[in-house]
Amino acid sequence: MKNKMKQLLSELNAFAREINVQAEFWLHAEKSSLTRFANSEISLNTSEDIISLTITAYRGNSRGTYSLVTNLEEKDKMKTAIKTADEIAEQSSPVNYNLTFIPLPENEDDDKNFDEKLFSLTQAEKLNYVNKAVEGLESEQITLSGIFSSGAIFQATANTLSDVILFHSVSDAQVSLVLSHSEDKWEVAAGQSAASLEDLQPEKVHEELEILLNLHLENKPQPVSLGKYDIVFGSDAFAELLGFFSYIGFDGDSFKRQQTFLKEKHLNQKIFSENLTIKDNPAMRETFPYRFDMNGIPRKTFPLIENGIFKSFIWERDAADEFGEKETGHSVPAMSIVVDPGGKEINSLAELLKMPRDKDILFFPHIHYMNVVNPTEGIITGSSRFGALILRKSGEVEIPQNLRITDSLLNLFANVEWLSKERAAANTSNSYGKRNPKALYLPKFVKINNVEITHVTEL
Amino acid sequence: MKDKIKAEIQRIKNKGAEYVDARYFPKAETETLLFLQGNLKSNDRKTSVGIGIRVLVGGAWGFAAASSTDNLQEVFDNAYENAKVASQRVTFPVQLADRTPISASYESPCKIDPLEVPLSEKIEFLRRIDEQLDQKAVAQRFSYLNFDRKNIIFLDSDGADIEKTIHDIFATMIVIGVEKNGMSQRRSFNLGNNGQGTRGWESLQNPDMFENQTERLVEELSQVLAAEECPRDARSVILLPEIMFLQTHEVIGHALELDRILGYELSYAGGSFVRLKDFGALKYGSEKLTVRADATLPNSPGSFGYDDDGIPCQNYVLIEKGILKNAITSRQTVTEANTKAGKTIFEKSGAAARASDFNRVPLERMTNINIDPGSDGTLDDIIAKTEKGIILDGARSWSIGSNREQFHFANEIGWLVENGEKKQVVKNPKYGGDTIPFWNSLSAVGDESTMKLVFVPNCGKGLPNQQMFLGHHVPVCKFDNVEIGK
Repeated sequence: MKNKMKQLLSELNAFAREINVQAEFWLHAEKSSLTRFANSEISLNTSEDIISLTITAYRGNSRGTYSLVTNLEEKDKMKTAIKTADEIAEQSSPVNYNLTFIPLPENEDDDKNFDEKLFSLTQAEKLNYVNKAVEGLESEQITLSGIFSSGAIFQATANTLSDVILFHSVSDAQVSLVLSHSEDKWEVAAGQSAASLEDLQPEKVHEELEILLNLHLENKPQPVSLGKYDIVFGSDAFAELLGFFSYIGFDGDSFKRQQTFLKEKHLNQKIFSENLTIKDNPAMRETFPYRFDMNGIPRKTFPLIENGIFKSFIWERDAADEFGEKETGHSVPAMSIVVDPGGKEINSLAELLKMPRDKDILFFPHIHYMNVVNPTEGIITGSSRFGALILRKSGEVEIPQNLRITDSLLNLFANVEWLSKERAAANTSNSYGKRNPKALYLPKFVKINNVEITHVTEL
Repeated sequence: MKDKIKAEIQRIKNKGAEYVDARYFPKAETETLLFLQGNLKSNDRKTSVGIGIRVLVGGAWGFAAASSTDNLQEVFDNAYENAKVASQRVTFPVQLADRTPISASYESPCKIDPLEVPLSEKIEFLRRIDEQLDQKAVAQRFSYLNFDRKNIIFLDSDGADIEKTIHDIFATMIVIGVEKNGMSQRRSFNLGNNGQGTRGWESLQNPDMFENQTERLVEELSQVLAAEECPRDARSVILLPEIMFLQTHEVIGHALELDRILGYELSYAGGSFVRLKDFGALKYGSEKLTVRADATLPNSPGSFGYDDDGIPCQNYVLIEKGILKNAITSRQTVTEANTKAGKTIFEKSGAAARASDFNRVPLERMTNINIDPGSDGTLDDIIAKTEKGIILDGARSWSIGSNREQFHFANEIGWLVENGEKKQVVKNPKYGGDTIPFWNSLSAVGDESTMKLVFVPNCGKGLPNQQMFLGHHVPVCKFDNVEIGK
């Protein structure tokens, strides 16, 4: 696939230069399969094989983009697409800032994170994984839902200012398994993100599901008063918070458009907990990293929060051009967000449940349907789901009714009391467009104090 | 190509499949234009071609899709093999409800195809909007157009043969202002209509439909920037259509998708608090609430001629005078639901199965989920009968419980109502509640004059994920004793 894509892109590049078109190309191929479970059966088993070519043509400070979902043999269509992109650019309206369009620096083959064994997983192996992960846990009332998604992407990028081709490929898998009670409508979930075959360990998923399932079978949901609580967030829940943080926190474009709670005055100020250090770290294979961005800029570890100090906004190319900033290598489909571990020796759900506590605290493994209430105040809201717990001061563990948190990210990240020593990958990929795997690498548990619970619903 | 596809369908049927269908997209095109602060930031056009195959073997679904139609046999074989694997884990074999396979064609009503309009004309339109929004109170201004045209050929092993051409158009404008303390506020407007007529470039050529909203939007933003904070208390909320649609969408529409009720979305979008025994019994809302799924509305993104099971679109009641009657259904789920309930709840498929693209499988999707107009008069009439309330407009954010049992909405603007009079603007209004008590607090429904059909371009659901177009034709509605401001 690599050689075929590179060869094709070279041909298209040469053709574009022949007809005096200035353009950049993004050729994306994906092979995806997704097995979906519902009501303890495979409700859908899918596979897809998709090729897409995106061409952005430039005429000074005017640009136009034309994309084609096609196949690798349709060269004539692709050449026509180059002309179409150029026509779009010609008719376009120039922006009032200078667009950076420079040669890609050097050839790159970024495929060392491609795991052939993971990519070649058979359907039988995937089914075997799921069966092991839920062995003995399903019943007439307890049914399985979830997904096992796996696949690979192959991307080649080029532009007409040089012969350089950037190539990136990665294989990935995402498992999310839910056990639900058909009558009482509660759900518990566990999953794994895999950048290599070794990351798939169904016994770990089984352990977590079993604990949560037994707790939910043995306990009825309890009411919780509104107010402030200390909450331990699991890695998936904390990843959700960080996902929104990237939009309304440190994104430079959003900052300039008055859509962030972080401002220039916060730079190099300690506004978060000193326990919190967050980086964009493309050396972390668990995050399906890009070694270079789409403009060929090598990606290095980029500090975002350092011991509670806000270090920098990120600038992808177009925002950097518009606002006169220096681009930071963030013209990528996904960052590699990594949170430094803490010192807390709580590294499994079982250990968390046994942890001594001097008051009742809550556990949120996931946050459902989070959204931004006010970006400039950093206020978010979301509900508990998939196995929230009340960890009583007495040592008992109970199930809460459905809880809603509404609080500001500034408050939440300023009140991080501890982070666990061990970390896990939280897969945040979605399949709304092209396959582009995405995961954060962060502590398995993070305790945040004084979080506002604003609504409680009995189901 | 049709003959080749039909031959492959037959081949897979001969291998032992119970059912086979194919969605071939000879051409699907979209165009997106975004003006941001005077700059044309997006000027994107996309064309896709591809085919998606669905196969039922041993009561289980397999699906395969490819952007290359050069090797149809391979795509069909992949779908078949996927189904065979799926059939190893079946608890309730899929049984499709009866229907008569038909040959038909459909084209959505469009006078001027936006994709054929010169780009310069479209850019000039957006520039005009941008210039009108460029006013003192406005720190950031966005204006956005999206055009979509799909050609779809549906063929199946029962002999259905349906060709569709669907045009869609979406337009949005947003203005953002900044208070002295750095907090941002916004006002937005989305293109909509009344469900009649056509939707194409002509929709934007009527200034009242879109362009003439700019002055009002900027004026209201100025008012919000200078406004007091929304109070925190309980009072009547009067929802205008550009928030009423979302209220309907999130906690009626999604809650009544039968696949959600049956547990098919638990690992992603969530379930529903609704149970099969609730149909015909549950008092979902007050007597003033009548909701229907109407995919026959002539002009809406939720009208599409025939669904992706090959069944003609329908118009039926979901909730009648507050009582839950029906769900949003497809061929598969009606059979399963009736079997599990041990009785016939659903007479037939509601023709709501749709896939967003060739590489996605059909799911139950909302069509046009509408609230019937009421007898409580105009917006002014409703205000006049409100002792303590707030009028709310615009959806700034929304967050819903996983079984659609509770919700939280933040709005763009509110106007307090006291003793039957509309008073001052307030900023940062929010409200929330539990679904059933909320709909049972519905105390007034506006008449036809208050209605708007709001287009929705981005309803997300399913794994693999897909975004769907649909509509909500809704009146102004008033709900009593609602918690606001939290």
